[in-house]
Amino acid sequence: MKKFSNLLIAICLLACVFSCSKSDEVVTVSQPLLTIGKAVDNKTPLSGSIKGTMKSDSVYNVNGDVFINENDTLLIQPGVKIYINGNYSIVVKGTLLSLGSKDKPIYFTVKNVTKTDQIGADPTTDPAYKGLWGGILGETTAKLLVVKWTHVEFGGGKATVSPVSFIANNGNTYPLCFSNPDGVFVLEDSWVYGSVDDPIRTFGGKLHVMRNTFEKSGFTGGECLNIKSGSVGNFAYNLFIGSATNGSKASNNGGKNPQTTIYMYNNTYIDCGYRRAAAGRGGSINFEEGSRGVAYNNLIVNCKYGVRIVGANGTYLGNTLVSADTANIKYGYNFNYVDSTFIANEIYPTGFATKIQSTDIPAPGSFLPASYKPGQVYDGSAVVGKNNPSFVNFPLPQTSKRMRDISVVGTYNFRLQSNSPALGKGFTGFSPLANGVPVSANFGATEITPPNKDLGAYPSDNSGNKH
Amino acid sequence: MQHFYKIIIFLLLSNQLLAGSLKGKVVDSRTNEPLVGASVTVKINDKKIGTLTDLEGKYEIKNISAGTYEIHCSYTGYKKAEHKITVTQDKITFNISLTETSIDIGEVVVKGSVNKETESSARKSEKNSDNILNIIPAKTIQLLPDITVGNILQRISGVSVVRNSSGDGQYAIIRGMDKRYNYTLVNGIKIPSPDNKNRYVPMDIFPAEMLERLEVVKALTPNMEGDAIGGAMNMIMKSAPDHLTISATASTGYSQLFADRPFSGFDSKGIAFQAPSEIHGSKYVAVPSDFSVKHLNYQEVKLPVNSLFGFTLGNRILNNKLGFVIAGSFQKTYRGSNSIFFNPNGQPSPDPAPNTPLFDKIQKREYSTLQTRSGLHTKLDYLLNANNKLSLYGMFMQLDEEMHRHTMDNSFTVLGDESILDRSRFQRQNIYNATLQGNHTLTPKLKFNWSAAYSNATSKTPDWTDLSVTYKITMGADGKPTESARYIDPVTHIWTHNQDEDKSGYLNFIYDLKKNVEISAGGMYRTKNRSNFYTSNRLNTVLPGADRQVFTTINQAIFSFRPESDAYADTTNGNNYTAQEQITAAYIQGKVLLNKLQIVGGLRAENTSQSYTSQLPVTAIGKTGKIEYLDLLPSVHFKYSLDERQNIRLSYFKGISRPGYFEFIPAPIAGDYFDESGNYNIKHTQSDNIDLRYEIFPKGNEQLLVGAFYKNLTNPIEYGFQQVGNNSYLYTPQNFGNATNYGFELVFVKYLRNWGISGNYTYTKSSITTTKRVYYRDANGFIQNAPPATPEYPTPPTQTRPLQGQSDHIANISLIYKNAKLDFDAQLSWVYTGKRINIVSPYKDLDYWQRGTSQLDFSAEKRLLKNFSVFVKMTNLLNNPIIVEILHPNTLGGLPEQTQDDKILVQKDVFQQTYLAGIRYKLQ
Repeated sequence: MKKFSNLLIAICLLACVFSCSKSDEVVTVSQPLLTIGKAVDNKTPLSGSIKGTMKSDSVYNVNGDVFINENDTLLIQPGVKIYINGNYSIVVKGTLLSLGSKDKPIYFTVKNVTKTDQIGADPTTDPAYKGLWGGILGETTAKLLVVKWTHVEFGGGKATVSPVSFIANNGNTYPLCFSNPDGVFVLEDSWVYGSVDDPIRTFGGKLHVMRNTFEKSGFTGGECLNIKSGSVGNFAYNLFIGSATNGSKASNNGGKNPQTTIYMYNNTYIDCGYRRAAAGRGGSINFEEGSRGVAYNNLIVNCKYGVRIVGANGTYLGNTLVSADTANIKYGYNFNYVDSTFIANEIYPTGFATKIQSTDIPAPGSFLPASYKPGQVYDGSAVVGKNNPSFVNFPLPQTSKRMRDISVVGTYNFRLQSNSPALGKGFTGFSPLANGVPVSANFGATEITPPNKDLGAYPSDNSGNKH
Repeated sequence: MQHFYKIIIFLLLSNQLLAGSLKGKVVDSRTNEPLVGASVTVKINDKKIGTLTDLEGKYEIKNISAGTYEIHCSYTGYKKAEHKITVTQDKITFNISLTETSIDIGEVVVKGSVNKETESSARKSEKNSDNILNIIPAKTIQLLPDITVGNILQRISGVSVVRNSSGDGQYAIIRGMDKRYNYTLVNGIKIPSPDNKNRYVPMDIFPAEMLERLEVVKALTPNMEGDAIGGAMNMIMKSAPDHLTISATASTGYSQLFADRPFSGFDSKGIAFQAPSEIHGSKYVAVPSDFSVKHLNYQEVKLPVNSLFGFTLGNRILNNKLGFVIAGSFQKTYRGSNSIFFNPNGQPSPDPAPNTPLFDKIQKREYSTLQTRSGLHTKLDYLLNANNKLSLYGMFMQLDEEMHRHTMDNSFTVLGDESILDRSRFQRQNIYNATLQGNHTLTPKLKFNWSAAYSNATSKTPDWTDLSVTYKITMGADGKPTESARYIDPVTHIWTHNQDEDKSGYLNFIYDLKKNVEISAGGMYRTKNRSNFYTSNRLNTVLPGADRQVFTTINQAIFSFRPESDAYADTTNGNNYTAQEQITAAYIQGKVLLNKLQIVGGLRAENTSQSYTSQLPVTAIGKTGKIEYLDLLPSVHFKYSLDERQNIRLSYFKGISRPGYFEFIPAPIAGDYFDESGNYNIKHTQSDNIDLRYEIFPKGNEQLLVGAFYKNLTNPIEYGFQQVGNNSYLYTPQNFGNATNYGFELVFVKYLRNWGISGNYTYTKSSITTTKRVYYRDANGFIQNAPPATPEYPTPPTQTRPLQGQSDHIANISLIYKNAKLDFDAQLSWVYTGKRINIVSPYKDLDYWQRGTSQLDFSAEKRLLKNFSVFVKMTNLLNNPIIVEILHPNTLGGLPEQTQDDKILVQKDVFQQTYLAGIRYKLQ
């Protein structure tokens, strides 16, 4: 018994010890927001050189071109609203950190403008395509441009007197632009709405563009991501809806090093390519003029063209597009859904070098002739309406609404239902391109999300687009 | 019968006695030079028998029996001569010498100016000049097939021309030195250019018939402005004659080009000279109805007729104190070309080899250009007294060009987009000059002259409009290409105008120190004000709902400003700028005659002060700029006269070339692939030039010149890549160290009775090394540009090449027939321009080279009545095209128009023949 009581005491003591350790406080306090330099005063409208920190939840007005000088940093805390009151730009010669959060996104926008987002709204009167201010323009000296959880709206107007070296006076700006091949440009979890021409153009940079949503990109021309020489990076988990031309395009023109190399994977492209004024240019993914990279796991729905690789032709065809670095582009596992024969005939664009991949969906063998050669004219009517990707909320087949009328997300939800044929078809046997973009909450990418087994921007494990 | 023979013999003998002949030579009494076309008449029994001297100054009058006669000889500009001769033999030789006319007014001697228009006087000037020059006089110009000065230039030794889109010479390349290295004078006064960015003057503005002489000066003396490294073109306009002179021409003709396809022109009437933003202010929000599309309507005319008129009226009145000449010219010519142009892609292909040529378009262009050239000039000189003379010169030149360029953008497209482009461009260029000059003899030893000149050059291209219509060719289900509907693309309207206003003053003192020593000194000041205006509006053709607009006719097209910002003026465009320039110069020059050796030399100082205001933002470097520099320009010219007819010349001069006004401005101008910009760090070019020449003038109008030249250029201006940021480059004008240019020239003119042959040949060799770009694939398979430094190219790639525009070989040969008796002149002219670089590519080994080309022209003139003659001028008889090539093995395959495996044809311009016939009236 004594033995027992001793044991009991010992157990009690042990329990006591355990319960004592359990009684230690678990303290969770909020971390201070990163602050750099002095607070930027928001009492007077901004113009000229600025640096320091824009304080959380403040409202700023920009009434002239503003410049972040070469060795300066401007930090924008969550919840900041920046109204640009005219055709002015934010010129980044040093470092800009726009660090919004899911709960408190940052806005670069204009005052007193109502979005006309009803389906079928006339683009020629839509404020999204008017270019109501310039853009966030990374100069050739910009070290770091980090944009997270930020809305960039209504930009891309004309620079009457261009504040940057790479845009001529009266030239169109781009809502986001980067031009330093040695600098880092991170765009994460953000929204880009509207632009006259390309919402994003890069003339060089180490790029990381992940989990963003692009709406109403380009009036009668323009790519959501128009990439020129000197640019190397990963574009993944982005949603492109209603782009004038392509969602993402890579080209090595412009004479900068290194060679443009872009990994485009797990993106979703909806109804792109229908506001392009000139005849046939592109509608989802384009590789041209000496660019290289990969295109895997993309989900392309009712876009004017499928993945288009511009290739050299043995005989002269007089095409103004110059061959991509075709030997160094890898692609496959791309999913195309089409609602018309016209688009079905361009899943593998005629006159171009895109090769069929057995991993593509629908299976090329199911609608292409056995003798099919890249660029050949074919009859794709067999795949019209086949392989509905089963989005959570986006009615397919798209019969009542014209392709060109869909340009915003609104209440649509491009997550995949559990019965989607796009689930589990992805290719994970490659790594994102290592290009020197640091992983950092404040000074780099939050996460370089690897490829997923599910196709498109919204994989079922929720590792993709968070919008 | 025997008697009969006797009669015959007698007749033959007597006939022989009767049929004596008189022959001889007419020469200038002072120089002994033969006078061509002098009239020689013999009075026999109140009947005049006469003839004219031939190209060697010789005459022959047959069938003169023995006896004593009066022989008269006359020649324009010379005093008439009268002699009594006795003919005793069957053939006698009688040489006549004539003395130049001079009009004595007190002590002043006014020389007849008509002489300066003759070939022998030109040769005389070349022989007697202090420095090295070549002259084409009016008499020679009259017989040339050329109607503009731009075309005449190519006839001059060492000069080749850059042609405009109609095939006419526009700019001169002198001894391989590009147009930027030469300047243009009118009566010795430098004139400004209507060009919007540069200094050089388009020479196709000037009608040929207004010239008394065209001189090309190839070595500068201290009293000349120093910014000509290649040479100075001096147009000496017709000056007041010593008696009433009237001449007029009217001619007409056509271009063979428009026999084969119609001329497609537009009506420039009603084109708004001012942009909406100029009328309403730069804040004006334009509406589509502000813009006319009338000039995008084209009318086709089959075989339009060219018409040309000219007149000259001159006299000396008020007791010979006031001399005047007024001359006008009006030329309305329909010109054009058919052209194929391979538009180079901004960057070549790295595969299969570095810098493999790549073209983004092959365009088929048809030009229809109506040129209306009008010129008016007047020269007055007034003799105040024996020691003081004033003269006033006024000139107004205008060239209107209505150019329609019709382009099939990818005319060899099998599949893909095809665009049809129409450009309507009306350009009006004006050059105005007024010069007041005074010549004063202060003391018998000291002379003084001055000039005050006002010049203004303007160019306007109002409402330059480009229309493009695009369709797509797709492969139909039947395997045949099918065309989509035609859609109208946005239409741009551009207004530009620029002005270069130039005020200058010149002073020269000339002092005869000793009998053989002359000292002169003087100075010059010029202030220049230049402004450039540019605005454009883009009218969109997108329809509500963003639908594309199907093209029917231009008049039915619906335009809008979408985005609305296009409705605002583009007045901040980088092409808007102003520039000022002040040049201050002073010189001292000495001229010494030591027996047979003449030395002219001295020193010139030129100070340049240049400034600009650009449209750059205040935050950018170089919104405004000021550039100042001082040059000391020594020169010395030796002329050793071996005898009356032979000289040996040796000269040295230092010359400069100033960068174009726009070349300093660091405003980036967007290119498709790389941006271009000016560069405020460029330095002006300096050059040391040496010339050696032997010349012989066997007879008045004959010559043989053999010469060699050497130029060492410091800081010539060439375009290359300039780093402007991290891994960012602009294509800018730059200095790439030194260049050399050397060569030799040969000029000859030889006459044999009625035939003449004249020709020249110039060999030039120049060399410049500049950085170039290589686009290649590195060892790891990545595509790279060099520069920047890469493992394969640790230093920037360079290329050594001739200067742009320099041909190794240029030559002219003319076969001349002149028959004074028949009053008939004819000339067959052949001009050859050797291979040269037309466009310098930023990429290594991809320069555009113009293939060696020749042109054959014919002209003839015949006098019908005393004062009337008829003439014909035919150009480009062999229809030789201009062909431009890249000297790269033709590995591309499938390109049209190719003829050779070792090069790629990238441009072919066909101009066809032109024909002109006219009538000339001349009273003098």
